[in-house]
Amino acid sequence: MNTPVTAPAPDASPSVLQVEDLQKSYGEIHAVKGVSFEIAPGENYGLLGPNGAGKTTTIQMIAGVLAADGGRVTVCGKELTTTTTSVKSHIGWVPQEVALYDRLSARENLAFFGRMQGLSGKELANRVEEVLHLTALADRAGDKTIKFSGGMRRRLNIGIGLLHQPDLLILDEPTVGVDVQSRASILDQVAEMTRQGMAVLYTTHYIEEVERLCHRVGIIDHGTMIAEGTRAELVKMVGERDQVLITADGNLSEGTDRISELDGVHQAGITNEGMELLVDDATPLLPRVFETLTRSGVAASGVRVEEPDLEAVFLHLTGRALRD
Amino acid sequence: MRDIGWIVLKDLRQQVRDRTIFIFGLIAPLAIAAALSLAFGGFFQTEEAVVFEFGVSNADAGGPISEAFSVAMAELESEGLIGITFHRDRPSLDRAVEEGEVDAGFFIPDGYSRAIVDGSKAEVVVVANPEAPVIAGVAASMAEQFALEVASASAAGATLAILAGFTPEQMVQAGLTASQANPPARVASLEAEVRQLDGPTYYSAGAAMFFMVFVVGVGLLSLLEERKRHTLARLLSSPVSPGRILAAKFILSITVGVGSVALFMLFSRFLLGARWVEPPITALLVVAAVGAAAGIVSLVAGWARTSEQAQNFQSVVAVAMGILGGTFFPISGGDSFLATLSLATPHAWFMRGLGDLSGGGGLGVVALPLVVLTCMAAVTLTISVLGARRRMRP
Repeated sequence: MNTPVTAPAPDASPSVLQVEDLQKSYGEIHAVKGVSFEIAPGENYGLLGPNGAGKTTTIQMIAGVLAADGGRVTVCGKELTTTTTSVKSHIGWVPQEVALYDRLSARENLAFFGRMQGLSGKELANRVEEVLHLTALADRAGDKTIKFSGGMRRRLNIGIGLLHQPDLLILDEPTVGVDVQSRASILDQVAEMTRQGMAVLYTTHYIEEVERLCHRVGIIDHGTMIAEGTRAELVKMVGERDQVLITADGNLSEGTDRISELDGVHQAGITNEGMELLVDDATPLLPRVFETLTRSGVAASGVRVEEPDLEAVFLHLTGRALRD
Repeated sequence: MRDIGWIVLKDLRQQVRDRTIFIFGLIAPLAIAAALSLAFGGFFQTEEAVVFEFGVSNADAGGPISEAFSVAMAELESEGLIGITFHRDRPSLDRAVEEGEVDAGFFIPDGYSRAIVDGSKAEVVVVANPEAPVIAGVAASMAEQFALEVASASAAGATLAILAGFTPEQMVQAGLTASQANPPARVASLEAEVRQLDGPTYYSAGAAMFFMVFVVGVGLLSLLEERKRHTLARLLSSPVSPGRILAAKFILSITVGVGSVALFMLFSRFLLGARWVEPPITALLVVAAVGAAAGIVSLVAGWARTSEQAQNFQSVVAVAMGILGGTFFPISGGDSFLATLSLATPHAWFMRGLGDLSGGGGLGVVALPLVVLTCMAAVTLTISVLGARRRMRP
């Protein structure tokens, strides 16, 4: 299991972000159905959910780039809409996709977006240099970003969000498609921001990132917030159960269906590696599980029994595993 | 307002680094204008305007109207606008055109004046070299203009004759007498758009306008590109209103369009010998034409879903308007429906404005082209901006 966040407890002062009953539809599709939560200064809040759960839509409404159909977003006590520009200076948004100008250098990208945030003169020049050092891009500052590796582009993408030292930093899946080294660097940066008192809204579908970084977690599925709390509070919902992770190949769909019918099995879901079970007591149950798998045409190559984590919570709440 | 300026500056920097803008805005029009000028316009004839040489053969000698034609042509020659040589008969005129002694010729058949008085079919024959379509168009245009004037004078004359109880002979005599003081018909030297522009200037103006349309959609294309690359979403998350982002994009279009035409005019002045007169008024014409072209391109490209699609739309519009607007060959010398249709393009008005201006006269002579271009720009840009607002989302 990953080490949970060691950052200090969030500040008890008024919320940096308040989201109330946020809603958004695209035609017939109700993408976000009344999502509500708050983030305090210095708090790292993880928004966890599978792809298509409504995380990015929620984030875009909070960042003020997408108009909400209903609900309210308040940042630093001021209500945010797509047209209230002044509130946006409190927000630093790092979109899921790398949003850079390829024909401009790293320094030019930072300077441009800094100016858009209202920075100028010496303050802008200082912040650009600070961010270049923070993102370890100082020695490539003059290079056009089209020449950068994926990891370097990701780091710069995050750096732009930090440039104006926002009160609220919104990170939308910042580590997707990033190499291990860059990923570790990004996570360290985020933890450091939180320690410095910045409120962070972090969306991901990587459980380990949420467990490592976030003080509180909101689990979102089908546009609805299905659970919210600290890691410990959420895991408690699962109860005294074991989480069984099986590496397997074959007819996984039939395998999970049959295993779900066994006594002592509460949930069974398919994962990238095979399947994940939530059971009362794994030890006496495993022989029957493997027997059932064999009969279902599933070839198991490995098994791990762990204490429940947020993945198990999601499985417990939705009956499905979080998948890539 | 500073944020708009920074966005425009950032986009300009990217465009300059991309270099495509130089190809369409400078190199390609210079190459095309040089090629056309070399082929049709007397390459590097920079000091003097091109003077077309026309031959006239009048088989209707003594006819009052054919005489009026000859007199009108002679007047144009005395003004230095054209050169005239007279030929005794049609074969001699044909030979002169064929051997290149004259650029084109007019043959007035026997009985021409009588036919007009009788109201029967009468026409001036234009003799031209098929390998010189521009001059043929010019000559046809002049003959058409003369025919129009004659028709108008005939109608007025017929009315007078009826009212005064004149015989046809008396009417013709009266017309002849009157023509000594005030000729019943005049020959237009050239159509407006080519009347005073020499070859290099005409083809330079055409090429500038044609290729300007390829670059003037840069604002809308840049908006679509920003959306594709997610930088638009990032801009929308900053404290800059969507309206300002949009304004920056349209300012970019106008800046790039005007810049490319201005740069091209400068280069064409020295490399091709194009003559751009009255710079402030020419600049007004350029700005209005660029505005109109930017509006039309944005209007059409605004239907596109992607920047690639928008680029294709822009190319189609550029080629269609270029041909229709007579940037390479004057449309007005040909089919009249096309001539009317060409007035829907900013190209035709721009060329007309430059032509009118080159004869001098200041702002007054280009008022109509300027007003039409400004109206085109205002209408199309307004509709384009309203349409582009729906693009302002991630």
